[in-house]
Amino acid sequence: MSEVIGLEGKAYISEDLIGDDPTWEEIDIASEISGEDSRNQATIKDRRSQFEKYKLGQRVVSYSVTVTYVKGDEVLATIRDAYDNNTPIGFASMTGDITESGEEGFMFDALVAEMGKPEPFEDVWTVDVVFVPASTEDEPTFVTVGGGS
Amino acid sequence: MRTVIHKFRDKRGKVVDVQLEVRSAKEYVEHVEQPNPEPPKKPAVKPTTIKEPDASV
Repeated sequence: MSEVIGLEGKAYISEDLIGDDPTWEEIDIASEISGEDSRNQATIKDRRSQFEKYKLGQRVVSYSVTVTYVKGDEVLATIRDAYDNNTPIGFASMTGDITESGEEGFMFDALVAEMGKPEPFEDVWTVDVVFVPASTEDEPTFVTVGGGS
Repeated sequence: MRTVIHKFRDKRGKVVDVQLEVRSAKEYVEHVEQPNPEPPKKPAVKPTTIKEPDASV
């Protein structure tokens, strides 16, 4: 067992979906990577209890990735194309290099829901990308890298 | 759990195969749960021998 820090983690995209023989490319222009994961809540309010209680519904998942805006970067161009055309791509967030045995992560077919770009006057431009699960045949899955290449 | 082969392309364009074990959310929970270790077996308690009081006292 070992802890993971953000610098070790890596995010990847694939133009092919996760069920279509994907070829992963690292989003090496990424800085902050943040995964949201929660369940919808249905509230039970009645006199049987002094407490509000809940039943849980679907998981709501998204990944926010801040990337450096690099003119001509192919990975950024792929993300931009997916956003402009509203087409799904593969997305993976891993604890480390996807070719290293033992690394693990979460991957899903994603739509690019946001690509906000603050353009600060005296700072490097970044793009705030948000990936959300797309309605495709494959469910989001947890993966562990096996024997390697 | 099932095993799939994906590909990885590095910045030089080299493509390698990557073997991944794919788990659903339920399978992942079972994968990371550590089984509770069995508690150590307690040694059998030896019966205490009760000494009869000394009748001569």
